[in-house]
Amino acid sequence: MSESAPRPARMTAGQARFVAIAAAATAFALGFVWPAFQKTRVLWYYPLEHRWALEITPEGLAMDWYGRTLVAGVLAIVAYFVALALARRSKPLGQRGHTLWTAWMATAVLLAMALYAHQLATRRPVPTPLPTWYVPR
Amino acid sequence: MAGTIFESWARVLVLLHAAAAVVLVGSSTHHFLVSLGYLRWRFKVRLGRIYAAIVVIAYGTTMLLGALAYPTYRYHVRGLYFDRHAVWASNLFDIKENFAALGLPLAIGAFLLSRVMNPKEDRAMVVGYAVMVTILTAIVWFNVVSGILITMERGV
Repeated sequence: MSESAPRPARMTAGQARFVAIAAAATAFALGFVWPAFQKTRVLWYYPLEHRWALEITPEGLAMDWYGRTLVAGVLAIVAYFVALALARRSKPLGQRGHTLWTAWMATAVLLAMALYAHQLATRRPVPTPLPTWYVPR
Repeated sequence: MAGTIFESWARVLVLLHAAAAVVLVGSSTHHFLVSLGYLRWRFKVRLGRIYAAIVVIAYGTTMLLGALAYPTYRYHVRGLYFDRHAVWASNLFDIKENFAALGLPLAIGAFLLSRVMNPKEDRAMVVGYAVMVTILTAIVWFNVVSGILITMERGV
């Protein structure tokens, strides 16, 4: 009876979770920042009309933060489970692998932050027309 | 008068948002110090896990309360006042809200990692963990200071 070949080593549960978290944080940052680069339909909330609309540009006072956060959150959850499944079948992660995943995650998050800081720091917003009942404080 | 959702609750929501942010800034700063300790071979693992748990709960609570008060701010504060008289505050708020969203996966990630990581043995992972916690703590401090400055200019 021949001895079976030893099974190749796999990532530990901790390493697989680390990869999945880094992939999820990277996916969240990219998904969140995507509408700033590319005209994309986003879920907008109209606070005065109490309604939601999926569109590229809003027709009045609207907020896209909820929609962008939701899309980025869904992307991050998908990335987490896909990366977790793949990582569990992969070889153990070495020092270089840990460094690369950390660098990808930190770069994605910091670039997204830098982009928003740059775009918003010099923005000139258009004020909402003052309603008749408005009394300045 | 134009009405936004949760408008009558907005001040209470912002007050609770600030209270949660106090917990968040304290716990995230302590968590940051514990993660720095991991890099210097000082292992307060149980404390690190507790702070990671408090941070993720406080972060989620702070964000949720802020999100509920946001429509009232967007119209009554930003739309009618900031965009005319304090553009810097309007822009600073939007930077803050985007940073807050980007910090959410880091808060959840640091918590999940803190449950499985052994900082004595997983040395390669400790750096990634510390980077995550450092960026998160920087976001929390930036947002707390920004929030105070914005509210000093005008609140809901």
